[in-house]
Amino acid sequence: MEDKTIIQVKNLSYKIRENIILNDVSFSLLEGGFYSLIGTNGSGKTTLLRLIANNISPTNGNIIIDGKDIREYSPKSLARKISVVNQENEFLFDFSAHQIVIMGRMPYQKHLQNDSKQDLDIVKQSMLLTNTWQFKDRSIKELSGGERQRVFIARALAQKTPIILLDEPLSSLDIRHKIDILNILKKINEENNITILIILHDLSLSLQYSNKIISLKKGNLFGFSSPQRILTKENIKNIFDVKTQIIDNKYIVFDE
Amino acid sequence: MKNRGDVFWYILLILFIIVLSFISLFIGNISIFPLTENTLFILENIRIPRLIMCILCGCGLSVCGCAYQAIFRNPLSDPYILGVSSGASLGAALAIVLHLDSIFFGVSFMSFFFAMLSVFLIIKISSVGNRLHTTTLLLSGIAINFLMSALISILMIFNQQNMDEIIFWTMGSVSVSRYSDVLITFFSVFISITIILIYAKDLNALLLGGDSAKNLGVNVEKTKKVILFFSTLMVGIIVSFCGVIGFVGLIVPHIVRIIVGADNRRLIPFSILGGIIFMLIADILSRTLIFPSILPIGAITSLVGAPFFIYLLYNAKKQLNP
Repeated sequence: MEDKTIIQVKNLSYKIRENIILNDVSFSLLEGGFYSLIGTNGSGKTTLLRLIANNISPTNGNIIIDGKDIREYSPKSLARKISVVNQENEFLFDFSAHQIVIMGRMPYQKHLQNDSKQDLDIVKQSMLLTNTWQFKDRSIKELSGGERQRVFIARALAQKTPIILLDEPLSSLDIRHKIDILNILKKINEENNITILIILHDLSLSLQYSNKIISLKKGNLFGFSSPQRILTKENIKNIFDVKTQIIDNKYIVFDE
Repeated sequence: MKNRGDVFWYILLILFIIVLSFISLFIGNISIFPLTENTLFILENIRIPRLIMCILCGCGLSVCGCAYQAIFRNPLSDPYILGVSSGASLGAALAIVLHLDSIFFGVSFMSFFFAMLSVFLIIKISSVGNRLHTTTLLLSGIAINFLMSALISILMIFNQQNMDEIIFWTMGSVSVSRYSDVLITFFSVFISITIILIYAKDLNALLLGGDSAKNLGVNVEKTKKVILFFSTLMVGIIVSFCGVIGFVGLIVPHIVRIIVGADNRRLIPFSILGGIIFMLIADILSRTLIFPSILPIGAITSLVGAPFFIYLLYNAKKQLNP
């Protein structure tokens, strides 16, 4: 596999009035990588993700997506590069799972254009892959947390983007559902060479699943390296202020 | 629009609209049979323009409801509840007091301008960050309603010679005499609905939230501006000729949504037909319930709409605090 940079973040800063949320963060992500983003609450993880998704604009610095500055993309062309699974939000309207996933085809459709056979096929594939096809006609309101997350991952897949960003998709799920979702992500990451950038709270899971970990501390880049090098006893103490033991380079045990 | 089942229902609903239209034309103090010069005059100058206006109000107000509900991400949004209609009627009242009614479009323009002003105020009051909070949105709508009604009352006290005309705006009526009014309304409703239909898919994405819509390639800011402009234009023009007819934009999309689902690509077309049916029935009732007198049509829609709104609030409460 050729190492191609797909996301490059250069000297990125974000301020709200005088509060520095992100401070001079730089890193490059390679195509086909599985990256997790860790840090305490308020360390700037979600802000970083929203900046890369172009939901907010940086105070300083640049984001280069696939060789082109993010500001040069039209909304539609950016939506063909990056899809996002947002933090769970409230649903006031009864969309079916299928209706949610088919929205993933919007970047490829014109106004008033109906869903083509190809769109419907891609939606079906994405829903089968995420194990959501069997409840495609059920309302998103009636689904459980894990089922909903899979529907939104299916939508991201239907968007056919080389990059998928996920903002804490696992919080509020039990361990079975967490692993189910990570396995789906790992599968699409390996089989379709899709770059994954995911905010994770569970350190053991990020150690197991990611190729590299980006860790933030108080808006600064604390480290960007392999999981084994980031998740050491000393670093975890430094980032999260908790004592741990790491066994066999694989198991993180809290020691408080 | 795409599947055959829908086409069948469209045809059925259109047939029902035709039947209701004939009923609406026949009802009144004066029987139109046998057709004479006199009855034709009544038909041509009173009943037909009223019928067309009624149809335009029905589709315009319900599509505006669909659009507001998507833009504000709030199923309880409606031009009346949010105070946009009363803003428009204040504009109309001001135009009369300032004698702008002699200028072409004068009343309509003022109506539209004040409707836009109300929308702007609501957004300013109820946004927290870049989100609109449900409760604050409804409360700011109520507050704007209070403010506009107070201003209208003051206008009436100081301009007692125009009182009757102003009261008309606060009651709502589809009786119009001039075809030019009908024509202006037709064009604004037709253009606005066409544009809102073009954005139907984008409205679906907006229902999931601004960030989500942006990540699906929707130009969120532009879409919101375009939709708010045209839906408010419709309301402004409708209010300038028909006064405040409340709750149509709340009731119709709600009932249609229960039947066809939330997808705006089906919701909007069915709401157009449903809105027309709702207004025609309201019109027929307003002219038959206390025959030979006439009830204001705005009173009829509110009589149905207010309890419906309370019912929705009650359900929302149960959902939030089970």
